[in-house]
Formats: sequence, C-alpha cells, structure tokens
Amino acid sequence: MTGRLEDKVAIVTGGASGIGRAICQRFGSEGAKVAVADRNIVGAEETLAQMGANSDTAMAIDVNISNASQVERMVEQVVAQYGKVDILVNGAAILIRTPDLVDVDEIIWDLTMETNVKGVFLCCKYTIPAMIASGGGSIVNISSQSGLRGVGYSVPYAVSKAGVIHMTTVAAAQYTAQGVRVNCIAPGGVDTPQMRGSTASAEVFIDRNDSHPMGRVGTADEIANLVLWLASDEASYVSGSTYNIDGGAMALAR
Amino acid sequence: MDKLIDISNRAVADYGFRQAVLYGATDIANKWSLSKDEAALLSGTVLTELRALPVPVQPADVSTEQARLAEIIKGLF
Repeated sequence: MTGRLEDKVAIVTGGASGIGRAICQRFGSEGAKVAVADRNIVGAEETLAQMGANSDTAMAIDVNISNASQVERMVEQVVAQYGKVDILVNGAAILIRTPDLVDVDEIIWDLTMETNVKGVFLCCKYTIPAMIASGGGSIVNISSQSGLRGVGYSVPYAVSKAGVIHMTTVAAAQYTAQGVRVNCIAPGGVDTPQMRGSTASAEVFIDRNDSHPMGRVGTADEIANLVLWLASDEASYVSGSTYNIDGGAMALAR
Repeated sequence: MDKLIDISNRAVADYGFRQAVLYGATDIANKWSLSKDEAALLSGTVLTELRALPVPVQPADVSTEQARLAEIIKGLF
C-alpha cells in the first residue's frame, strides 16, 4: 500500500539515523513531505539522499530541539516551505549510560532531560498551533520500554522516557478536542547505530538477540510501520495511547 | 585541561555521550564551563579523534583509548 500519507507534511526529529531515518523513509514512500530534523545535519542529508528526495518532497533542518528559538524556526521553515504541518514525530533523544541513581552526575541528568523531555515539550509547543491552524494533526512520541520498567542502562534516560509517556497523556487530554491526536510508542531493543554503539561487543549483541522471545531485537523498519499507522488517518480514533513494540519481550518479563 | 580529559574519557566509554559531544560540542563546553581555548580544542582536535573511534569501542580497549586521547589533549597545552 502506498499513498497513506499523501498530501501530509511531517517533521521527524532524530531523522539522521536509526529509527528516525527509517520513519522518514517510510513516510516519504507513503507520499508525505518530510522535514528531516537533527543536530547531525550530515546524517540528515544522507537520509534525504537515501529517500531519493528533492526540495519539493523533503528538507533537512539542523536543529537543537532543546533550544526554543531553533525549534520555533524549524516549524516556521516547514510551514514556509510546505504550507502546513500535519505530523510530528518526536524521535530525537540521547541515551547516556549511568551507574545507579545515587552515583548519577547532575550534569548527565540535565543533559538527558534537556533533549529527551524539554526537546519533546518544545517541539509540541511550537508545532501544535501550526497543526490546529491547518485543521489538526498527529503527534507520535518515541518513548522506550525503559520508560515503563524499573530496569535499564540509564537512570535519567528511563525517567525521561517515562516523562515522554506522560507528556503524551497530558497533551492528548488538552489537544485531542482541537483535532490533534497525540500518541506514543515504547520500543524494546532495536537494531540501530545507538544500540550497536552502546553494546559492548558483537558477542553481547548476539546474546541479547538470543535471550529475546523472537530470537532477535526489532528493526527500525518494524518500528516505522507502527509510527506510520499512528501518524496516518487509519488511526483516526486513536489518541492518548502508548503502544508497546518489543516482540513480546515485556510479556516474557512479566 | 582536566575537564577536557573528563569529557574525552566519558565520550570514549559511552557511545551516547560521544554522540552528544559530536553534535553538541558547544553545549557540552558550556555545561563543563570550558575556557574559550578548551572549547576550541574540543570542537577541533578532540572531535576529530572521537569521530575516528571504532563503534563500539571494545571494553578491553576503553582505558587504552582514554589514555591515548588524554595524551593528545595534554600535548595541546
């Protein structure tokens, strides 16, 4: 099926690699005009190239999502180029491994919260008015299983991802009636540069696959499929929900 | 210099922190209260070295890489 996002305009933060890149590619293949937003502008340009995009169909935006003026400018750029914003995917995040809570550095806490929570807040803050102005839209926030469970590799990351889930609930409560659906996904392990880079060795990566109920972690394309559905009009009655997407890993842990 | 080495050590040991440095060196410099000269070194030589690191840095290689980068940084002062 193609054309599920025909005439839609999307902003995808974190679009330079991993899940964000897969979402950009999927959205582009379904007819959306896509703004690939990332601090890694080289990676964002690579995403555009892989999409086979031109300026009529996609654009790369160098943005620090924890900076309000840059986020405001990002939204203005997209509206100026494509006339509106229908979809926002908040995919940009950082994951810095930490020791247990009492040994976490305050500076790492702040760094994580600024990107993972404040960044999502700012993108919603400046995109929602544009969506309402053009009749509504769909926001998909990317959280994590770390935001649902008390285990993980990073205290601030886990708490930030729990914050994203609750921001989804609050934003949905406030803006669904104005035509803006807000949903969230919580992926488990996904084969991305982040996961490869954070995994100590190839052996550890294989072990992680072997311990999974499906015998493997997810792919970025599999995550993009769920995001596509939530972003599209097929999910027109869905708002305020968080979807677990982990190949059964959470079920096994219960 | 010590702050710069601290940043470098963290970036070698943790991929996520390395990404934060590679794409937000100015923010990192501000958070660590680096001097103007230190911030310039972070954005220059140190970033070049961090970009060249293997992904992932194998656990057995972390201390060696940290020491190598620390020596490079010391040589800049």
